[in-house]
Amino acid sequence: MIKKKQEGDKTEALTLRGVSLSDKSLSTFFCFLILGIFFSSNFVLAKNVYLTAENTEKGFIIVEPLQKTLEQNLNYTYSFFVYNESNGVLIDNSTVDCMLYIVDSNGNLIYNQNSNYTSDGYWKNNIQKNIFLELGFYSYGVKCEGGGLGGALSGIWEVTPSGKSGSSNIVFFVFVIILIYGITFISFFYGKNIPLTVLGGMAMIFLGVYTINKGIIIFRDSLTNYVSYLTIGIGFILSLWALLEQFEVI
Amino acid sequence: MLGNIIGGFIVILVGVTLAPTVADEVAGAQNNSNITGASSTILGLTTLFYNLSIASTAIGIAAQGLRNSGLM
Repeated sequence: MIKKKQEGDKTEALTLRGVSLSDKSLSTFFCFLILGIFFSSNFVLAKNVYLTAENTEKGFIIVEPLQKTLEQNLNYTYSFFVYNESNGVLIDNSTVDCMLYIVDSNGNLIYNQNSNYTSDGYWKNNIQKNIFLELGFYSYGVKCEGGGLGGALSGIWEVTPSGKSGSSNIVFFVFVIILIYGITFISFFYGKNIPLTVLGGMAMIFLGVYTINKGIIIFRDSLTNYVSYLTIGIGFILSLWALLEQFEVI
Repeated sequence: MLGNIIGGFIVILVGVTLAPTVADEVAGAQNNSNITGASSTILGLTTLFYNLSIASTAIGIAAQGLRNSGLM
């Protein structure tokens, strides 16, 4: 009897709970759903704010030209852009100052000047040619700072006589040298052609002067200067010899 | 005779055309800091000798013409 009553209470309770709980659970579910949406949106907002704050602290990105080879004894304008790394906004000179440093191959600081901001949105430094007197490698660095943020980069310039690097033009240059030497020598020794010898000799004079001025692609030192003087001399002697034969002096 | 005259004129034409280029290159080489003193002075004479070659070619053509005609 007691068991039946207990079972009856349990059944009633279950029935009651089943009816009442279905409504309660629905209400509770919606409450949790609304609260969940509310808190989750707040959490998302907080997370976004946190990310923005984190990105702002990253500083500046400096974008520079990819040119790494400069010509010796020639003015060079170094230009670069400065961006905020967090949002990509271009940085101007309202709150930020930038400076360029150049160090020679011996580690001596040979240039440190503030960069000028242009109306086109980039920064630039006009570097005079007397900075790049010596051939070789120059290290440089750029730093920008202001408003509690900053950014920097460093790189290397190679200074060559012609402003070119690599060996892509050597084949052409060697071909021209062989052509000029060949025409002159063949005309003088085998062809005995006076006008062509004079023409080739004058070309050799020009070639010598050119190699003194520009070097041989990426090389210019005392050896290339010596070869240049030799070329000028041979060109002059062969031209003079041919002209003397023209006058029938020899 | 005709070949020498034609060749001579070609030499003069090419030489005169390239003379300013040679002069510019010589001036540029003299401005180079690696070339100083006597080397720079001798290098400056290159333009002179270059032009003398052109002038000598012209004189040679004229002299040969006069010689062939019996005037010299």
